[in-house]
Amino acid sequence: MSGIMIIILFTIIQFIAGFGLLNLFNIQLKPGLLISLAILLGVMVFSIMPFLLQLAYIPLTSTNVFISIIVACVLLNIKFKSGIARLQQLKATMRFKLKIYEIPYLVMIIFIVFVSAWRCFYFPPTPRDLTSGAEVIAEYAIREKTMINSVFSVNLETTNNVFKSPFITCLQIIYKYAGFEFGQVWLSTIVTCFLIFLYQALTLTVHRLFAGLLVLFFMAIPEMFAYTFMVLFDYANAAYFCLSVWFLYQFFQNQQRNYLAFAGLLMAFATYIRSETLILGCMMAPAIVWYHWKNKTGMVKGLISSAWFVVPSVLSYIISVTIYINKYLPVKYNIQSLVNKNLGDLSPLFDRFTDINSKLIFSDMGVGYYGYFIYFFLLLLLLELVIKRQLTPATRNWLYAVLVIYIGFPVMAYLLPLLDLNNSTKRGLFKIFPLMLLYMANNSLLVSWSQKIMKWETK
Amino acid sequence: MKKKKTVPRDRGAAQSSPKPVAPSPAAAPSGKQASPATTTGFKSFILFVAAIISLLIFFGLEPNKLWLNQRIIPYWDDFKEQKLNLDLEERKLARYQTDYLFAKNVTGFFEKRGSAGKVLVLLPPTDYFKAHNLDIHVPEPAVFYYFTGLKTIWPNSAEASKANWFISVKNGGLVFDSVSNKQILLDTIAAFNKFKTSL
Repeated sequence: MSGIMIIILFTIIQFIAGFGLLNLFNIQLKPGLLISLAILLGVMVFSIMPFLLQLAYIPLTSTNVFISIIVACVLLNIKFKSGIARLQQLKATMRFKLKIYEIPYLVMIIFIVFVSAWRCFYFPPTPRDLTSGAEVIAEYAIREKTMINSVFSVNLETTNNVFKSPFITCLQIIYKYAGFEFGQVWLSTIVTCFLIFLYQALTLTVHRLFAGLLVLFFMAIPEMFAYTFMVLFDYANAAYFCLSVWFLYQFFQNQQRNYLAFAGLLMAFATYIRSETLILGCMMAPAIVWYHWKNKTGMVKGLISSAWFVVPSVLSYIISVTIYINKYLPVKYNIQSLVNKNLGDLSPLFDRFTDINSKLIFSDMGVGYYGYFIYFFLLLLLLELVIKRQLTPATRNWLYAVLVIYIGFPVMAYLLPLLDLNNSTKRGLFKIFPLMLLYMANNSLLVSWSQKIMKWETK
Repeated sequence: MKKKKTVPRDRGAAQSSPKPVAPSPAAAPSGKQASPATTTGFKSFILFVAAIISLLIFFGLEPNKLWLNQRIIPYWDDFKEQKLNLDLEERKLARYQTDYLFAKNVTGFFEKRGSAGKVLVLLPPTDYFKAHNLDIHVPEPAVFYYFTGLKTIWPNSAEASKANWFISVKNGGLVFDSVSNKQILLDTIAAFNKFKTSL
């Protein structure tokens, strides 16, 4: 079977798995959002199944791996009848309409995504974090049918990458079994679906002309674009973190607890990808308490809602770090030794905060890494504050999420000194960009200009 | 009657009191909906021109222009050549370059002797090779194992003395020695450790 056919087949299976999950959580979305999200959820399911097999000590043969995926698909679609009804509804409401003015952006975006996807397919895994960690484990998992394999008998004094999340290892195992020598193409699936989701999310509030330009702006963040074809944890982590926050804010809007639980699930998955995301997830909890306090629904409810959001991430951390690393891996890894022993000294916190601003953001190097994206975000924020003189609740929410990352990384570097500036923090900041993008989508000026264009357009 | 907004807004967190909840704009419509008012062809064309102009402005900005010219366009040019060459080994060589070549050559020596699966090879640091005018970057043991399946060790490791082979440079070429005398191995480790070991 050719590579393209396998990708199509995998995408269909991922859609079915993800659609089942959306149906279980009773998440109602417009078709463009639903289809892209379902595939992203399917990738999530794929990345968990080999890990579950490993936890149960079931050999990671191709048969076992693919049967487990099919079983997951079936179980997630246990509400088969309502799923069929939703599919019929989806079919009835789906209208693929492309406006002529969307074409220039669409062509450009497709071109850039294609270039990225090709490099992702063509080159072998490159980053050292991968070749000395997830990738080497995946390679030998294929040969030895277990993720706890001979790699752990190699001298590992130079790397801690073998202790990182099994997320990439699992996906690499599946795609290598499917015939992709270098795996990796799953990253292009995540990138494509995340961009579609973002575009659709933007069009909920701003005109398609702005939405296309904003997505292009987001894609052209040089450093982030590089990680659309160089596999590492950060792009996927940023995508699922953003999705979690998006559904949390959907909960703020519709007050349906299933959306909150779903946001919690996505945050748990983001934590599975990068364990320190747990800290950022916890830092989102005050927004939930604030929401309940403002709505006069009580602090207790606020704390319960926070638990719905945070507890899945804690469980995810316990399973993928505390249990898996400590109880399954044959090599000892002292995680406690990574935590800052001198928490009374706050200077690393301020030093990192200063370094992030002076070296990563407001510098020539920062423009090289992130283009003008952050400056554009600040310009829009400034214009909104000067012209509108107030922030809408939606913009405040997204700004809070931006602040969580902006403050969260110095805090994480203070707690975990191993998170350096030029690698971990530089890539960790990827999480801030989709949040900034969604702030832009709610910026009062862009929204009011959008309304004016739409009014003129349809007059 | 309130005029219906064209663009629905997210009401967000700061609602002052609990009240009936309107469906989210992101939610699926309940059934077939009337098509939105259509745009006239001329207005669409004006917006099309606006899209083209905004694209030109976007790629006129210095960082975006650089990104397009130094990344996207060269990547596209690469694609036109790469699609004609799908050989896996060449793709690995193109990416890993001398690291991979060095690992393959070293492993090849042991494979010929049929002992690749049994040896632990002490490798000198990259700086040692540099000092001997050899342009070799030494991959760390985990990466070396990924490349070829050969187990290696660096001299700054506490377990370096467990190596049963070591590689050094003599007369500008690589020399492979098996460990027959523990003292020679310890002397070699000490000699290698005079050079900085780095990733």
